[in-house]
Amino acid sequence: MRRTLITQFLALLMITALVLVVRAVADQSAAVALLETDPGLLNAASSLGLLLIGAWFAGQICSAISIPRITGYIVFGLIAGPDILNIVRKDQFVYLRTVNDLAIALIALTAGGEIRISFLKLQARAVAFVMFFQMTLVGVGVAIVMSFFPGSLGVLESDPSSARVAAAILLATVCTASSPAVLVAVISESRATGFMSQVAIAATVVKDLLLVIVFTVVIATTSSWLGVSGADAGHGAHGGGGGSLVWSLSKTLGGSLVAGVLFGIGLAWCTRRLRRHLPIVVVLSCFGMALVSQTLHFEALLVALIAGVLMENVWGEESEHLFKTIEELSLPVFCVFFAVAGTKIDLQALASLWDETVALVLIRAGFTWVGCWLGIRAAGARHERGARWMWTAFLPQAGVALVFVSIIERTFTEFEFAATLYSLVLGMIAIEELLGPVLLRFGLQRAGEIQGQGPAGTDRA
Amino acid sequence: MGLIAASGSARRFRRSRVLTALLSAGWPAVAVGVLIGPAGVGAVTPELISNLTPVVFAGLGWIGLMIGMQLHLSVLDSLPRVVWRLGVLDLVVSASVFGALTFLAFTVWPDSLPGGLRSGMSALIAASIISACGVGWSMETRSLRHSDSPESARLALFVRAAGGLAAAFALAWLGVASKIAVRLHSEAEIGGAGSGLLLIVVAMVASVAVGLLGGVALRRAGKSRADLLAVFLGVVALSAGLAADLRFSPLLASMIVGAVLVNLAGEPLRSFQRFIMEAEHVVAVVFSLIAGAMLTTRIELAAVILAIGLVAARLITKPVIFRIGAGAAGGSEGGDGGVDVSALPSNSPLFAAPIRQSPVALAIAVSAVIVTPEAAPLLTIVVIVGVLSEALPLVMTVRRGAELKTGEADAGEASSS
Amino acid sequence: MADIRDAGPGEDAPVLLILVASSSSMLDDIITAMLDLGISGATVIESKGLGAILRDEMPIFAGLASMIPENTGSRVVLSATSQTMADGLFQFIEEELAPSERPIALTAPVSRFLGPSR
Repeated sequence: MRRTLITQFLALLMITALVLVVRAVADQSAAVALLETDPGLLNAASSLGLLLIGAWFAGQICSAISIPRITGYIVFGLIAGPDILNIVRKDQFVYLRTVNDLAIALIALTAGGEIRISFLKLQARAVAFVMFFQMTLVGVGVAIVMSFFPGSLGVLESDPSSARVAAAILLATVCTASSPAVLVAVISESRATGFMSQVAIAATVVKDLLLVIVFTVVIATTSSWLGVSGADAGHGAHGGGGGSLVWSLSKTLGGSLVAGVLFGIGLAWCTRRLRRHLPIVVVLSCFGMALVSQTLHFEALLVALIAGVLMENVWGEESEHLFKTIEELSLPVFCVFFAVAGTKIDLQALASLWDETVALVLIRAGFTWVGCWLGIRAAGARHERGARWMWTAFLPQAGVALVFVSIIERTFTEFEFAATLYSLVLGMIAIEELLGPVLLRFGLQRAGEIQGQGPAGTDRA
Repeated sequence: MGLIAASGSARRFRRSRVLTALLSAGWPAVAVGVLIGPAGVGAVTPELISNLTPVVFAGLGWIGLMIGMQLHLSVLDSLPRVVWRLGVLDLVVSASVFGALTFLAFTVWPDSLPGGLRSGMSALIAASIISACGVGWSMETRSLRHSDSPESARLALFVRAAGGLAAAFALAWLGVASKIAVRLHSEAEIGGAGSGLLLIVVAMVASVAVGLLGGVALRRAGKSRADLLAVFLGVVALSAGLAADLRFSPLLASMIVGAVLVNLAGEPLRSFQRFIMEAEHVVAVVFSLIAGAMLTTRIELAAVILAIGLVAARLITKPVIFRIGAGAAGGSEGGDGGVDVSALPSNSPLFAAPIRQSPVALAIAVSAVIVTPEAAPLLTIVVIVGVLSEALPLVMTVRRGAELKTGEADAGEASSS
Repeated sequence: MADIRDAGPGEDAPVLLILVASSSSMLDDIITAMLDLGISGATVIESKGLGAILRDEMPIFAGLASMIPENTGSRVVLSATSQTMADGLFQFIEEELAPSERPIALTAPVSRFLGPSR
């Protein structure tokens, strides 16, 4: 095994070195410079290839030392990214977006497939209470604590008094978000199943959807407090007033629901008729969902989620083949998705606000633990195996939090706290992305939900 | 469209030889691509195509890899000498004829050169691309066979094998010719004789290295389909991407990777090869769609004249090359594997098989356009040549089918009377 | 086991077991299972699926692919055995093999049989 580990490590080094050498030769060569083409466009392809295969090797190495693979993907992305080796540069991000969109749709499809209505009927209380208490405790707790440290939030003395409260509430809302992508990836990789996995997925997904609404309301409210236009608030909101906001949200959510149902029906048909080419069916469907959502301003996450839920619960027989295929496809998609996430980790932001970031991470973790504990008790699920470790599922953060803080930064540009919050949240996401999967896997292990470990929970069959 | 074309229901359409020919060439998909692309209703915008660039590169890598993965040493060893001779003859003649025609056309009508080519490239570069597109032919034989005779089967196999080899030659020619053409065009700017050669060497070494490292990864992946897929896609994207970094042909680079992989990776790759080959039709249709969306309908009259000239060149040169190559040794037994052409009727559509343009030409043209979008007229020329070159073999197929039916009907009447 | 020629109506009726394995690993699984169940006689025929034939005649990029031995793919396994044995094999296939690894399997009744005794 040690020899295999060394071989993989060397192969990873050689692939990275190969790309660096080729880029160096290309940069030096006048012949290459002859053609006037956007270098970001051309280099994006080799960056994609490097992220995929490099992340794969990194995942293999991590797996061999009992660390979740996705930590390897993220770390490799960080190393290959702009802050360290700069192989994947910022001008390439726009070309990698398409693959990212595919990944989000695939992850949401997988998450939908994990939601079984039969299970939800039995555990609806647990899901609802865990979600409610986790959201409330983290949101209120972080807001109250951080409001006592306005300096850490970047609130200046010259700012209005409401800025302090606004900054704290905005930060608290972002802290409430967690990452269904990381959760699904770790659960999928470790083939975990049981009370903790299923409640966590259901609660995280529903929570993130509710958060879209909550965040939109928070942005609109804080904008009006500080006299800022809320035009960029949330998804599809037009900032014109409460009525248009509700209408816009309804359109987005309703349209996403309908689109999800249609895609689900389409997937079921394709699965039945085109079984041999299911991988291509899945890839094209995910692209389709991403493109349709982008064009019609729907929520891609919701569209894919609904499609996945339908497949799992309505067309059970077809869904077995489909989700087996999705499982096969998930690996390359996760490699790219989390490696790209790793490239976006801002080490400078982390370094500049290290103390504040670590404090925030600990505060968030503390309130998350308390929230889950209260939720489990309120639901009367204390004795369920895995209940104790549920909190580890809500720690990882990624895309959703990033989207929220980007909107905050764009909306409150004239206030210093916007930039500070952005750096703070980036730093927090960096730590959560690196440590979150490890803790989550640890939690799943302790809960006995990793297959082959202990008594399994509900089974797919 | 790709999935429908590959589904069980669609196989019914392959009863019709005409439809088989058209579907295999991908022309319906190209037409749909034109319809939905910027030249049509505009559902697919140039911006979207630009954003899909890494995916298109990966697609080019896939195609190159698929061609490279045929180049198993045992297969190459078992190819009759006549197949090699035909491949080389086609490469030399087709590359010269098509290259010369293109160079002449763009020299006589320089205004018809695509805009982007005027700035960075020249008639020579356009000629290198079009000449590579002219090498080889379509390998589909089902639409051209009307009998099950051993000679017919042998000739069909010959068409496919020689076409497959020619596809590899076309990519090799493209990689080398386009690099030489760029260097010759801008010698003063490149700064040194060794520069272009260095890039070619670096690109090839990088491809071999990717192939070797890919082999390590594939062996590690073992039988896990998920891991095999991740490694395969990574190799595809990386090989094409590194080639793009060096402004080298991604098709040639990934072909080299595929050849290295198939000869070194062993059992894990072989078990995966079926999956890759089975996806060929789906990938081809999706690629044809993209090609259709990328081409432009705004081309100069001179470009259309060139396209017609290229079709005429195919009509004249290809059957001659094929007859010389296929029947050179004479006799289907012994010799160096030639086909007994006298055993087949002279109007057998199989003899017209080489007239049809190879689908690899579309991939070659796309690889030029993705780097230099202004070179889209070249893609249009390739599509026009491809469509027009289907005409004669199709006509021969239909006529032959009608003759046979009449012959059967006569035989039926004779036996009943 | 009793010679299947001797089985009359109502007894463990003889059947022709036909399996189509699309890969060598699938064939390995089938043969192992058959041996474990006591089905010791079978004939294996190299075959090609309709899809493979069409693909061979309609390559797009890879004209040489049909000459690669591994691509000529399937095997058909024929065995005259008892209904009980066949049921056992079907059970194995359904329980032990994932859906994507299962062969096509069917049985047909045998009214007469002439062959070496087992």
